[in-house]
Amino acid sequence: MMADIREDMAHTVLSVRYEILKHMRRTRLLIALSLAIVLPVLFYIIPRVANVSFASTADGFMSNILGFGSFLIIISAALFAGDAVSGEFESKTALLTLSTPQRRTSIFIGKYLAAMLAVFTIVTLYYLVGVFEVIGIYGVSKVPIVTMRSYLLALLYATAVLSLTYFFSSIIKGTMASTLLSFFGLIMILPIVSSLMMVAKVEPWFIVTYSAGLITNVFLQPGFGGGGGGGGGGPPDAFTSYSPQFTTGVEVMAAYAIVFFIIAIVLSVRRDAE
Amino acid sequence: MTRTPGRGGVAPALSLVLLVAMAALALAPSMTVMVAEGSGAPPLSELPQIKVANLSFSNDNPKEGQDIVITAVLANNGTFDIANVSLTFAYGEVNITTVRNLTVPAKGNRTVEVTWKAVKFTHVMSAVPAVDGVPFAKVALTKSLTVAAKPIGNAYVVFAALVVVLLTFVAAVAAPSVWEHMRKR
Repeated sequence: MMADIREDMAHTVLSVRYEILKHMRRTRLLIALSLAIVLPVLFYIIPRVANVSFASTADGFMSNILGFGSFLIIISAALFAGDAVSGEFESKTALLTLSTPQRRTSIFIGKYLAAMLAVFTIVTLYYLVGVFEVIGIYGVSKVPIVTMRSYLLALLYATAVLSLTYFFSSIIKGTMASTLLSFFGLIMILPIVSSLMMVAKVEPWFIVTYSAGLITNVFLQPGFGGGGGGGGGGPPDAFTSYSPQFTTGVEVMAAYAIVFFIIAIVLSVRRDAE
Repeated sequence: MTRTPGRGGVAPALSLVLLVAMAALALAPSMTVMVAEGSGAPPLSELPQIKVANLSFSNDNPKEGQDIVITAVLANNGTFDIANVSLTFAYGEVNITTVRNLTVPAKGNRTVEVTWKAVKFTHVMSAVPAVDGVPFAKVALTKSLTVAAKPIGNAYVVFAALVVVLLTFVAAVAAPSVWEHMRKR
């Protein structure tokens, strides 16, 4: 049994390496990497050019930059995992790849892990550029400690978004449809559902895009921080908006990552290549 | 010509009564003071001479959930002790507590302390005195206090969640082999 498991692991690593090579050949990786560098740099250049002062604190500056972090994660996930499964079946390449002596599970898990590595690289680069900017503006000592917490949350959110995107890719036949559904689902549909639930005074704790608020909430100014379910910051019942609770948010992101990953793998393995 | 008898005697009598009454009114405050000084009760003119002289916190940069000791100093500038004083502590519109039955000595101070579990926000903390249940809002003291929110979450929790997710992925790779082995058995 151990030999079989070792073989499966080796096959998965092979799939990961092959997929990464594929990503590197495409321009997608370049586009995503460019976004990860250009987006935070704009927050540095534009105030300089417009002669506007930066945020008064390093926390505020990082929070501003990372406001776009979740968008970058969604864009990256759509680029790397949007067509990971549907593309194989649409272009009939599955007929070749699935006929190899490799297990289907190792092929699809390899594809997922390769997409995850690509998204993790982009998120890491985005945070690194942000931290370098903070050092340049405020000094090394002012780099917020909570940046690491925010970074880990961003990685966890990236796995949740990837699993959801992979799930869409495994149930939809067309690459365009699966990519667009995952992109608009995460950028628009889920945030709209969250907003509507908040209007109805129901906390949308189970929606993953709502939990993503934690990525920037950890930087909030003292006295106005989130971390409370009903009411967000401020005195009780002062506001009708909600902010995600930390533990619940982490659990929701982990649950999305695991559940949608398993469903996506099962559906991909059972999918007919013909 | 007839003369109304007694009419000339009524006017002086009325004048005398008025004079006595006016004299009594004029002497009344000093008589009260004398009585008051004798019994210890303050004169009406000195009642409002109480004020909150100082308001301070055990921690000026507290965090949400911490116990903060709020200290208020009541000052009595009058010459008489003031009894039955109460002091209400509040943040914004929310009352924390009211300390009752205080006595502030004449020309002296009285320190009052209460403990409050800090609530996150920038609050206007206030201490409002009252004598015999009548609040003296004009001599209340307010002070701003920012209570920092608790640090949101813990990096270890997120790290643990990430490890669980990644272990699930690894388990998913091994799962088919394990399943086959179990079926063969």
